[in-house]
Amino acid sequence: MSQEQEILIAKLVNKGLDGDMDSVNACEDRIVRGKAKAMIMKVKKGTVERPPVPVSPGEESSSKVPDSLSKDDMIALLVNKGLDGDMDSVNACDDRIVRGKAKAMIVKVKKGTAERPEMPLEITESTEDNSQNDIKVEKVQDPFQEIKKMIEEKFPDDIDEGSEDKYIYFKPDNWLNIAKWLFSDTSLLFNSLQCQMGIDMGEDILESRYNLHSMKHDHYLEVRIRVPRSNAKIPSVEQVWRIADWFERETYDMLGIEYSGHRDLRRILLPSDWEGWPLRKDYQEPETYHGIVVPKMKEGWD
Amino acid sequence: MGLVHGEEMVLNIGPQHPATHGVLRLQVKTDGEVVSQITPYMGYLHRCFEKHCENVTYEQVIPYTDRCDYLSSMSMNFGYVVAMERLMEIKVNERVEHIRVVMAELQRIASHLLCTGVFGLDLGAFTPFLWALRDRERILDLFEMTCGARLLYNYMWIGGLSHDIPTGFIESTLKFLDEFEPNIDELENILAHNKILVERSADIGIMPKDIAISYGVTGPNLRASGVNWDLRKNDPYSIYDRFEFDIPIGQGMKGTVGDCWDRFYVRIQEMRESVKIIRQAISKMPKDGDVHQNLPKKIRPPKGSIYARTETPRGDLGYYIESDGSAIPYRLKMRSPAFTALSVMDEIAAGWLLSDVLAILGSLDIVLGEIDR
Repeated sequence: MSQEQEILIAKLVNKGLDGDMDSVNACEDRIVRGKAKAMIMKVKKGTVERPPVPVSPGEESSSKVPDSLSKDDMIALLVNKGLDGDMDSVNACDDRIVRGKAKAMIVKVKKGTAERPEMPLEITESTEDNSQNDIKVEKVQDPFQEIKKMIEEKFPDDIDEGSEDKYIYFKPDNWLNIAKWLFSDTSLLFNSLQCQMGIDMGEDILESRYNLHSMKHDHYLEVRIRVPRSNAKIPSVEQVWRIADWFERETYDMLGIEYSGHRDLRRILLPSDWEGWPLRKDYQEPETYHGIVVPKMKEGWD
Repeated sequence: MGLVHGEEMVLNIGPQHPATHGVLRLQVKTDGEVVSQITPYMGYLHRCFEKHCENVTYEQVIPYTDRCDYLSSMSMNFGYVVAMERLMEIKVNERVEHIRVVMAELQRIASHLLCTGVFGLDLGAFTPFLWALRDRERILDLFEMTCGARLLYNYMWIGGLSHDIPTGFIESTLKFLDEFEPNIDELENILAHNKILVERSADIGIMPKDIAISYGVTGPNLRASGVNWDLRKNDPYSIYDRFEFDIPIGQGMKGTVGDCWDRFYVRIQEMRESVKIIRQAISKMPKDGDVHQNLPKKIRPPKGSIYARTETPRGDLGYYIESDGSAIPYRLKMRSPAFTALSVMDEIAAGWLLSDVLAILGSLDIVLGEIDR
């Protein structure tokens, strides 16, 4: 049996199991129809597992990622058009995410770091909405590439190595200016600092991480700054996002990262006379605190 | 008549004070009866949550999350398992998702009941507090029926639940909802439109939009300031995108948008929306499906990091998990909604009278267990 027939059977079985027996009966290929019906019976009996919904190119029926296929096709189409010299249709694309990704890809292809994508076969409009039936595990990738490009243009010297698809590394020196720009630039407008945390990466490296979110544009950015333990100083952004005041105090409290320019940098959760930075990996609990013996029971921990 | 400035006095509210909702010390600088500065001192309940997490396996973290916000433990569980499932790219089955939503929304009602009741108590109304606790008790009974615990559930597990719901749970829940809905109106009538409560809370402790966003205030407190932002709608997790419900926001009905009364009233309205969600979730809940997923005994998520947020009764609860591929979290950070809500205290309470400080603190609905972690 050919592969197409198998795909068709899987599709019909899924439709039939969802209650749409009409489209199974409407199938003209007798062999396919018979096999599909047999399989539906088997699945209902429990002797066979329900086949996954097949994914075929050019059709919007993937049950896992409802939107990505058409978006990928769109990007591939735009990249091809752009590489052929038609940048206007790339710029005319309304979807910011697709546009950004397409532009990033064009640059990569021109540089030679990425291969030219294949021209999509056909782009069909999505007629049925599958999003009702599956659990959204991850949001469609945010327009990170576009933001990253803007940052690379504006602050080319401040990007540290190690940036990846989800986050961007900055050098600490100019962080306050970058933060002010991220906060106020109209096309970025990161008005909300979701989370700030510190982490001990080992090898004498401490990191401060910021999860930014724009309530207007609804995009996210994770900023990471690494500093050596010997000089753990990062400019404070408490005057940009006021919540950074307490977040930075907590990170200082737990990891001993000094936020220069912070107006009220003192311990927040631990008593002010506590010694050491507890969330560093080499932290040793004190023997006593004000005469109270600190218990050290660690048996049974894995 | 202008304000006469006198000598400044420092007054400590707490650490042991019923109106601080936990063990919190507010150092208040007052000029006569007018507050000029508030400095919160916390950490009295610090239990090293994040340090503990670096020493226990991923499953063992869940009971610790219960103890952070002990008034909405289900939501704390929920946030953690959502983060873990995103990190490990696990899908959980439909039945589990529906049960989780029912539990989370019941928990939201329970938490809001306590908050609104205690808010009344802070301002001198004792009876509504008892009414609120009477209804909350019935929700705790439902939880006890499900997992045996009344406060600290350890109910949602990575990839599933600790127990399936017992026989009769759905009927009891529906019965409770039927009887509870008129009680919301009752609570609203006795509290929200009460002359004394309105006088004490309307036009007091106003939190403007930009201040709220800059201070990272989230949840009902943010919505009361007129910002239509709810993660269940704006960044849906689990299956919240399938339900129909409204997001109540502050209207300034009795005073200004973002005052104490708005923060209180948004919670009353949210209880009604939660009832709607529970009814929908129960009617759509699939009959079969195993609540235990086949996962290895020791969970080892792939190397990487995740920041996932969920909407708890107090706002955005974020978990930042850094995994190094082993069975123990390399670093786990909880971004607590009450922590950010308390940080705005100095900004919005300065300039008000000392008696208003307690109204403002009560309207922010903080839980110290979650702030100190």
